[in-house]
Amino acid sequence: MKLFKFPYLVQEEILQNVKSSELFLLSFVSKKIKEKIKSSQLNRFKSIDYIRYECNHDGQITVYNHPRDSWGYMLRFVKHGKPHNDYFQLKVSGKMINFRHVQDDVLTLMAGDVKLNTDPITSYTYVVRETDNRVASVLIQGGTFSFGVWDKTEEEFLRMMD
Amino acid sequence: MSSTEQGTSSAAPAEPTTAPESAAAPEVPESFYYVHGKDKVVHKVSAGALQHSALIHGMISNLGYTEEQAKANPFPFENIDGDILQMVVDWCNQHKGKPTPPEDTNLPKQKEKLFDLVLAVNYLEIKELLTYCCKQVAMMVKGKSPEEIREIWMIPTDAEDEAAEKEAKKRAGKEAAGETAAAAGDAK
Repeated sequence: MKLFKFPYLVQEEILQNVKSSELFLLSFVSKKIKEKIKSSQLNRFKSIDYIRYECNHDGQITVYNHPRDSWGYMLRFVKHGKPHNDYFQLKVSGKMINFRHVQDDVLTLMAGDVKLNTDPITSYTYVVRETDNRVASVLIQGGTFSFGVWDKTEEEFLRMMD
Repeated sequence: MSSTEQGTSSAAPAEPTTAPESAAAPEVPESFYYVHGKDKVVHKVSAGALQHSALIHGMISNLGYTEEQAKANPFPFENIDGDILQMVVDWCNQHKGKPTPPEDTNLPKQKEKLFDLVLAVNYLEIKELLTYCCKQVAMMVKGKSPEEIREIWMIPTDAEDEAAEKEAKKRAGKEAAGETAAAAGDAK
């Protein structure tokens, strides 16, 4: 069964029925399918209000996406514990990382045996209050999480951030 | 289930197949139409069942076919295999006048059959059945690794895509050169 032999709209309908975690894996199959996912699933990505990272006491991180109408698991990060022979490896940002599916179809990233060579997270976002055009912002930098409410307009705030 | 018999695309079926009869017979006699696929086997389908297919429904409304005309000229679907058309006809008969359930578990499990069914259903514009089929195709990659997904959906590798692109460019170049030479020949 050749996916690319289906008419364009049928391909879209099929991808529409593929879960987020499976779309993520599908994007590793080829550059062409990755582009296809990006172009055809724009509405799905736009419908995601936010992505939630939940860390439990074992250090296990679970990633959920929250679309407007439903929510779902995307990915779970776990320490590489007991050796499993049902994992598969993918090259992510130049590093080979082990993945496996667990019983409830949650895609699990086994990160214990790899050193993730990622820069410390730096991210900020802000909202503007409509009534007086004042800004509230959130900044994540390294291990620091900052929340601020500013007596500045959006323009002043952006100038300050530059 | 409807039975079928061999016939030809142009000739009227001597004794066309009969559609399944519901327990409670309708008061107004129902109209029937005839379709055949690549194998020329003619299937008799009620107008109610054909409502599922936007294509056939449109053809009937636009052409204003009477039952006699339809009997003499079955709708030919030469691009659809007989067994696939049979599946489609059966599905339309089973879901005639009924709300479609959220899932359909009676779809073929074999990849090639499902592939042909999707193409047929898309061509015949049977929206609900297409949705079921696409769900079934999507389910095929559940819990699979990227390499397994590649095998199931036969997705070419980047190297294969690049080679195909090069080949297409080469072919296009040759065709363009051929056209230029032909035009020059004509000018002489």
